[in-house]
Amino acid sequence: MADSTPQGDAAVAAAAVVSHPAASSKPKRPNYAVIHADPVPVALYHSPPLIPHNPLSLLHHLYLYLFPPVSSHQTAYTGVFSPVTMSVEIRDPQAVLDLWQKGFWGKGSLSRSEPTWLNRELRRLGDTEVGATSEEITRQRRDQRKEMKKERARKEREELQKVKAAEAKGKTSNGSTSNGKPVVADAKVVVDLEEEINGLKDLVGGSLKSSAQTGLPTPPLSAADDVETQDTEPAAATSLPDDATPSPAKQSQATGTTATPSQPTTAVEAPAAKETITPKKITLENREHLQLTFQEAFFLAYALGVLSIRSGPDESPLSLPTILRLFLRYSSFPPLPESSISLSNLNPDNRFLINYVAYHHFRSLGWVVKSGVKFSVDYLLYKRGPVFSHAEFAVLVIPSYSRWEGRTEACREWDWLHSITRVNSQVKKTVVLAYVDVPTAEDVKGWEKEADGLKGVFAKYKIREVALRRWIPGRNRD
Amino acid sequence: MASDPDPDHLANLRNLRSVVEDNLRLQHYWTDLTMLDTVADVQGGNIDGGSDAPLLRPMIHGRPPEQLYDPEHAASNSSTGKAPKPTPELEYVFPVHIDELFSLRKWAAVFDSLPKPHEGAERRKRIVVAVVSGDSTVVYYIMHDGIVKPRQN
Repeated sequence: MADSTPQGDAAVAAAAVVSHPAASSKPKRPNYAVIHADPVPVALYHSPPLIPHNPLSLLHHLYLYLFPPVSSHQTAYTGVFSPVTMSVEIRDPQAVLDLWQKGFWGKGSLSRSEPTWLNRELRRLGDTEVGATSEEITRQRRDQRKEMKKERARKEREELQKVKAAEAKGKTSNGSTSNGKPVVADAKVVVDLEEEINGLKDLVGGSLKSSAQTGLPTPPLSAADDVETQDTEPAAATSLPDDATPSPAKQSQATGTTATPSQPTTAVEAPAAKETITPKKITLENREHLQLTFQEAFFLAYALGVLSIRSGPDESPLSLPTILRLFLRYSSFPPLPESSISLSNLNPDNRFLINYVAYHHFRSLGWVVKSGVKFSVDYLLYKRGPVFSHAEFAVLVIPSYSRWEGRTEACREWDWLHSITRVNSQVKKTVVLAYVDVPTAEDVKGWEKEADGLKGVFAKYKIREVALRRWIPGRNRD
Repeated sequence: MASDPDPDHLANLRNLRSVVEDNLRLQHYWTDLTMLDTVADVQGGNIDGGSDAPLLRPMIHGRPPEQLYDPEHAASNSSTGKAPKPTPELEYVFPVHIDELFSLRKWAAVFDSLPKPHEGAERRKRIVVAVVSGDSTVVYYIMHDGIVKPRQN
């Protein structure tokens, strides 16, 4: 029925992907624990405790000092400062892979998080040698949901038409009285619908084909949709309350019922087989780069010392003060004027410095810190990384000026906070307010004359965290 | 802002637009992308005599791979079920940076400066706002001039 439409074809392809891992019940996941074993792109090694009166211990340490097992703390990666994207871009494939695998630094500029654009593009063009990306899996899920909503809309429209038809019938048969008793017509329709829904309930268990004749909306009869919309289909067709949430048990049940007609199963296998026959290799220029925010880039360059930053691919590496000056300038949009940035007369109330202090704080405590722009917060904190679990905490960075004489704190309305906590409780995240106490310009004066003065500057910022959770008296009594 | 002659700021806004352009073209497969700097850049967008009147800000005109949600046609579209899909409509994309502050008055000015597709026609009632942030995430919002029927979830 629907096989001829482009939608149907797309669905068949999707179903082929879905049906593949049916044998092993779940698609194989890469072993993330091995891929992301290193939390930072710095090689670390253990040395035994130093016991001064034991010559062997001394020898061991001398050996480690002279011949370290790994050459740590080299500037291993090169990034290019880009005023266009207001970030630092990494283009060397090895560096991109390393930085993503060892600590989840940056974001693919054309991907949701891991740089997968090239893989997606290759698959789109028909390359068979690359695997599915997380973006595609999300798309499949969204397509399913869209199908479900379309079905629901159709069902509602048909109900409305029935009601209207019944009303019209009432009007023609006994003209004036219909106005007084519209309830009767409605009740009849409801009974009719209930009967049909009950009928459909049986049909879900039996042949799907005949359900099309009942006139009730059913999902298209293509093989693809049977498999693809397996969990949403009962809810869409009959709107039974208990079917609204797909559970694993229901899913398997649905698979069982939909797989019974012989026609669909053969149709599913055919495209799957076709897909494997023609191997295809495509070469393509990668248009994507790994994009580091200024905070990430500065942490890698300053705190870890593994990143050198240039102003162009062929330029020489920039010095740390130059990098700092650039980042301070480009921390807001439009960028601050060149003349307003002075390192000797550093203004601690700069968006880059405040955000960096918060970033450094949480990164140093072992969190993987990513941008929280999609959840209307500044940062998201992941325990090990985005591939292992969802972010548990959403951090709002709030500058606090308690040391600034005569400066009133910027106040926010309650509804601002309320909307942020509501958004984040929807996705099961705890909102953390990170108050960054900003030192005054007086406090940090003369930092550039001291050795490692920047460390002193950052030490003068203080961070206080407040975790927020909405409390509903009726529900959470603890 | 309407008569912002600062060439530096214009360069910043063009940079912003190029980020959105790449994102639309390469990540979301938009086609027929045209960069708009003046009203005259719109196809046949020659309105009110002022042929090369500058737009309020650099914008993008382009075609999404699928029709974006349209409250007026939503009902009629879904009823035709299996009819071949019509070509998606062209949209106006308005790039902004996440740190920018906008007032209601500014948004009204943005809508007022939208070019009309042809003489005597109504200007589009909606734009797609593309919010760019430093980690390369572009968050898109549909902004409509006036009240629209809410979308069913």
